[in-house]
Amino acid sequence: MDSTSRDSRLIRDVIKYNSNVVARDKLNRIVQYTSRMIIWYVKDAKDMQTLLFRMQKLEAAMATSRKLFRMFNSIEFFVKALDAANEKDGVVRLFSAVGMAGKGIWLFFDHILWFNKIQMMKVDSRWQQMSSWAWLCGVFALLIRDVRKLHMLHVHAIDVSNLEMKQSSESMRHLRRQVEATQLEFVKDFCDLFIPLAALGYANPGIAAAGGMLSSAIGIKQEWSKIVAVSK
Amino acid sequence: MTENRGLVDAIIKFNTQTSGRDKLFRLIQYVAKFVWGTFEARQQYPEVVLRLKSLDGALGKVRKSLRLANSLARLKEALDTIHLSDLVLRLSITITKINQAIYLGIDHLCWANDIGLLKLQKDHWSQLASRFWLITILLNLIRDVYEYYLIWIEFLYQKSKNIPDNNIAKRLSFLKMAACDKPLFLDTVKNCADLLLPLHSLGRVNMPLPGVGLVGVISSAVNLLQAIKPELRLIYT
Repeated sequence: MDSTSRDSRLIRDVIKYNSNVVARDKLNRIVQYTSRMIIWYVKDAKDMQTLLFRMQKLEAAMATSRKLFRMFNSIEFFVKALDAANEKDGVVRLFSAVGMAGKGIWLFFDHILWFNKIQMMKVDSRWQQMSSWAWLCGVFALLIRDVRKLHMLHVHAIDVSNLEMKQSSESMRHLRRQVEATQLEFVKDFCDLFIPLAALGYANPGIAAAGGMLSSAIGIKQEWSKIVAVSK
Repeated sequence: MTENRGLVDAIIKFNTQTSGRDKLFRLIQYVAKFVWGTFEARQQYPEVVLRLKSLDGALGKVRKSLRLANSLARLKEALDTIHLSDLVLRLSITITKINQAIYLGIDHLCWANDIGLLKLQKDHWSQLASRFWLITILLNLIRDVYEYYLIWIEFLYQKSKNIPDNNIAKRLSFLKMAACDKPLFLDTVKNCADLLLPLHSLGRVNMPLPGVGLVGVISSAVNLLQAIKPELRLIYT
């Protein structure tokens, strides 16, 4: 395949990726956390004030537009919390439901904070605190769920090799894909943990920004494979 | 039951599309503009006016950032429509898409200027963006007129074919044929409404703010309808 058709396929894939709300949000997220990282890095440097000013404006613009962009997505998280009832394992069921509900509450508070930011409503700083706590609890619960899932997959893999059943290469590949997906999800949730921790003052903002960048990059990869690779 | 399911599926699909969200926000923005414009003109509810003004401004800013990279999409579409068979459609649609891409490119610069990433002359660049937007709408209208011209040709042909049978010839009507083409009709309504917006921002037309809001609501509502029901969208728009 020559380079021009490869380039045009890439552009087509980027446009397709961009047209999805969740995927686009991940892109905005990585820009937001990268600018936060730069702000943390050059905060005290006296000769970088223009860069600092521009990054602050970019970060604020991205943060505000992302808040509106995901308006009413909290409903989706509550639906996912209800869907968690379909999980077979009790621990996964519980922590999935708690995690999704926590994220739903966080996002609901986030909507209210956006209305406050654009001065349509007035709320005090407690709402920001409550929002961060809800996010922290949600992500922590999802982390426990990920660990449990990895444990279950590990046990399943041992069972399969112990029984010496003739597993088709297809099912082994499927198992491997599940393990990789759960590991990625774990890393993403672990990175996300630092953002509310920093908002509540328990962690360094630089680490939170780095965590945000990494989790957004993982999110972009996950969305890319969902949207672009699936259609191939 | 299946109809409801179809509508629910359409709404879910609409919800996942960036362009769908943009159209929804546009409708809300212009409704807010219409309401606060009306209240301000009547000097009523100053508190509501202030809040809706903030909403209007915030939505406008967010939509600008949402549109980032759309210029690339328009250029890609132009590369596709350059292969259309009909010469007039090929020219008008491709030029429209290129024009839209330029408008969006300038819009991105205005966004970067608004958030302080660049330092540009705000008035000059936003006027330039409005000019390109105006040209885009005019080109869209030219395409609509050409499509009506094609229907007119078809009407004359149908009429000439049925000259021996007077009954059928009498029942044929250009207006009926034109009204049957729902996507074209909706597109024309949308473009006529949209035309007034850049004319107002360039100062060529003196419109009261509630009027601007109303016109924006009409075009946004049509846009939204076409996004939820793709069969109502004119091809290549």
